[in-house]
Amino acid sequence: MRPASRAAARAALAFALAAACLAGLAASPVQRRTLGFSVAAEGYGEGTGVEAGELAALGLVLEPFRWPFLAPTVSAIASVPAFPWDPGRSLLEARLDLRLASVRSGAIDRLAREPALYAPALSASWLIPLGPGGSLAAAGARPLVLRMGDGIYSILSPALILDPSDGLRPLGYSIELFEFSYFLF
Amino acid sequence: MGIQRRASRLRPGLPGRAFLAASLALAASAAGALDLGLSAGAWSFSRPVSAARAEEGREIEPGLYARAGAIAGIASRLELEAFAVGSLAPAPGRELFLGAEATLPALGSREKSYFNLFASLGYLRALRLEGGLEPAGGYLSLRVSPLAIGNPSYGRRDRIFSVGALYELGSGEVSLTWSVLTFDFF
Repeated sequence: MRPASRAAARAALAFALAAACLAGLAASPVQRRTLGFSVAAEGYGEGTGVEAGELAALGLVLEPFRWPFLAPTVSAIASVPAFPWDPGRSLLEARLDLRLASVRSGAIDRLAREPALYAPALSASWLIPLGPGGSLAAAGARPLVLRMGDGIYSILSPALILDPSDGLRPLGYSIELFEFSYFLF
Repeated sequence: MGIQRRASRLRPGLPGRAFLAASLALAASAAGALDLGLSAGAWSFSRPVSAARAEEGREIEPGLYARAGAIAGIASRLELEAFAVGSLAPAPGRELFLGAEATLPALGSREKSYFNLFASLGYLRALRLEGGLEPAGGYLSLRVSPLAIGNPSYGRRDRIFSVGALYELGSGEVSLTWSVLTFDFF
């Protein structure tokens, strides 16, 4: 394929993707509110310095823009070891999510049983342990995200835990089993 | 003698029996006698209750676990579920449990009540995946899901804040389980 044809094909693909995202957004009841809360269950892998166990996370979520893609979502989250209960080893987290797309399809609506958008995202976090250990950074993916009404529902979101005091050396992984966010204001 | 030998050769093995059972379940479902569903959710175990169990390598590691299962509602007041529980963190797949449980709704028919409370009695078999698949203990399980929202007629159901007790067969030790949320799709 000639460079000009390749460029035209790429432009057509980009236009089709953007049109699909915008059409999905226009046709869906995306939330009108910008501030809410989130609940989640997560765990950390070996080598991260975070004690093994299930952590229950509660957060504040702010989504100031309603762009169909590249819309940032900012969260302030407190994660507490829930089972076994050990609040002395809680984590405080500041997270930025960047939505990659907003896709609407009949199959997703049928699965969710209401109008929904598939909206995968990338995330970056800064973590401060209340127990022993220094600050941590995390880079993650949120591949399975549905947005319905005033809620965002994500499952199985992995992240790479990095050591900011050692040139962002990878320490291990974390995984969020689920996170539900509800916008109230 | 020859007939007996031929008959035993025709008797299905475990995979054959499982296929037969699945076929019967599907046929019964098609006839409207039962409803089938899938479940997915979170799961946690309490720490080992004794040092002895840890020394023998039979402790259940604390961590983040996920649970996935298949549900068959066989009556308005009874459903059966086969499920697997596996660790996601701190080491994915290091611990695996296979289990089955019978669940009874306490506040009305499982098909019609939108809000319900469930009690489940079951059995879990632990399998350790370090250096091969080794059996690591069997447990009787009693679980209560105090709030279930939805039903098979609606197509979705969420079981919230399920707590349970595990009785380890052999040692007689008791530990606890916790599941913040389980989704059921029918």
